[in-house]
Amino acid sequence: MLNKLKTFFSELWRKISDAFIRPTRKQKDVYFSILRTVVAVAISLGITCIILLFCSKEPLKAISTLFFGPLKSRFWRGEILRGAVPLIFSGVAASLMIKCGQFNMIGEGAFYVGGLTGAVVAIYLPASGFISVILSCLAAIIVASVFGIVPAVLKAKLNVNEFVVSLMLNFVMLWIGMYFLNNFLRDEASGDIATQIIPESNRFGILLSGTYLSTGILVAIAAAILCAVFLYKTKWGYAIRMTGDNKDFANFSGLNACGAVIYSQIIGAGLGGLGGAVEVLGSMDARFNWKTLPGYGFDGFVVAILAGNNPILVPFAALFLSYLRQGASLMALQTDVAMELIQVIQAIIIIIVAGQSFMAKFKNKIFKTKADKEAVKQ
Amino acid sequence: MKILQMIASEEFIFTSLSLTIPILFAAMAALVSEKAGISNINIEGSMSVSALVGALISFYCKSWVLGCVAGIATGVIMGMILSYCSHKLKTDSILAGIALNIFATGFVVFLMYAVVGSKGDTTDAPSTQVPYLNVPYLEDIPFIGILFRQNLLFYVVIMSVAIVAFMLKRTKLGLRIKSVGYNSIAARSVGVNNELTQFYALIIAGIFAGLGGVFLSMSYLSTFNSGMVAGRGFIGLAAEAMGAGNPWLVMLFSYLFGAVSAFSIEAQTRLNVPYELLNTLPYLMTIIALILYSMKNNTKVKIVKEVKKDESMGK
Repeated sequence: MLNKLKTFFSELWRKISDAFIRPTRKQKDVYFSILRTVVAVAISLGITCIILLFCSKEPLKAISTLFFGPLKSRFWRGEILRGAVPLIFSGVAASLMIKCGQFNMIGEGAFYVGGLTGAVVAIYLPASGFISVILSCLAAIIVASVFGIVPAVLKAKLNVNEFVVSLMLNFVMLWIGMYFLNNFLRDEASGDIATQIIPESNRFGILLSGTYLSTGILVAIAAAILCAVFLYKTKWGYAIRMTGDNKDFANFSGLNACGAVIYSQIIGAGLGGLGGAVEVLGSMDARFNWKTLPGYGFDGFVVAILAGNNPILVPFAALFLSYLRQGASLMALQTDVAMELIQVIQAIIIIIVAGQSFMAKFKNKIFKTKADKEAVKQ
Repeated sequence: MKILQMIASEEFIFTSLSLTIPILFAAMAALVSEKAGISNINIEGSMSVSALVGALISFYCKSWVLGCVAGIATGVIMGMILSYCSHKLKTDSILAGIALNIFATGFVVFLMYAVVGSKGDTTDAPSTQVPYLNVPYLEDIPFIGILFRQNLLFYVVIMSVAIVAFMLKRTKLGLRIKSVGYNSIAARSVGVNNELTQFYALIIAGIFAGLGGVFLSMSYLSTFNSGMVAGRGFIGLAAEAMGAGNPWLVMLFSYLFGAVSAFSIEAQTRLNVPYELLNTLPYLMTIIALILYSMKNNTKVKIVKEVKKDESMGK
């Protein structure tokens, strides 16, 4: 027994040390993409600092609040975690769709209808506690997926551009939701365009005392893990990845590429819906009161690209982004800079990380093997 | 009956014409970039940023000409950034477009807050408006007369359709743009610089996007607000797809979308339909139009395939 453990650990140690001393090509690839992402993020943060130097009257205070503000108190650390929850859902959804080669923005509308459906079920269905929460989430997933069928099927069957369709559909979903909210669900007593109060037993509880972090984050992490398993360990996930890499090849090798295009997008929409329900049922407002699209569809793409489209890395990317956002909102509270600066940072991150020629020369240098060098000499 | 009355009224036609202008500018931008083989989804963002810059400059300089120039320049710069991303950094052009759209939504609020001190709109800094231009004599013609009592930018947009049609058919640049979009390898083999041509196309698209944005904040309304473009850039993309690359057809479909938007606005005051549902109309219309367009296209592809099959069988 002891011997077995000993050999196991020595094997493990050998693997780890090998990974650093004599990395295989695949491992090199991983290191390189991590390095590349870190450099890209550093560059975009650098640009941000330069913008702040020009735009703010107290740039040093703004920069220090942006980077260190949210780490200082327990409440704000909780806010970082809380802000990451919707980003995890939208990031996982986006990475599934990007893996299949689909640029579908339905996350926005899916969050909206998901949140509304979740709130309605939690308020009006005569169930309470755990069952009610589960039913809310399920209803949100179903409604959002039904909307998600539209761009998915149109893309797969008629080759309609899913990007434009999903963007248009977002507005349709928003206004349909607003119609129900204004005419049937509105609670006049709230003094706002909002639903009635969701009973406390039908909401997600607080996970950490002293913060607003709800147990919804556990659902988010579970979703990320499940999606990673789905994508890398099942045949459907394999079909998604192959379709994204090369659709014709996937078709010729007998995979159902058309099906993969459809279900990747429907699952993406369903995840958005679940995210909306978790967000509403875990929020402190206790009512559904969104009057515009929440913007998580676009944010999902930032998270997915930072995470290299790998669902298991999405929570980390979401945490990082949420940290930047809380920093920005603190900065907006304490200085004269608007928090929308964060979207400028996000845009720069996407452009650089997704830029194929960014650090490509450096990569060629690393990956040149002995054989390559000799070939060059000859 | 009420609906017919509404559609026939002069107000309705006027509203639909002015709502067509931004969509048509966006569609022209989409047309030029699509012809050059780039999917330019950055038009929405460009329009938004140019609308803000145009409005601010026109307020501070008290001149609509400078406002327009600044708006166009902003559109061109956004086009150049897209070109830099897709040519130098080799970012996927759709991803770069998504990134630039995110950039635009954040940047306009950031800039507006920094300059005007408000996050909602620029009511405190109303823009100097682009004037209306009545063509003498022509404006008195019944029915058509309304076409000659329009904003200056209306004439500009009609001109630009003609210019684009002419450019694509008769000029060196237009032919190069088309050849690059049609078959970039073949174009390169006869010595056309693909990237430079696409760069020019993006600059032209930027000019149109800038004008579209300027119209929204300096003529349609006299202030800028952050949700102002409201998907019009993307509707322009749809109009371009429907028009199948023919500038005049694109113009026709842009008017169709403009009319539907006008219907959803006018009907709110006149018909007893909830405004939320009316608001979905332009977007639903776009989706349906895209579906019809691709159904027509797909049958074409099928017919071509069948013909080829018959030919090969004959051999």
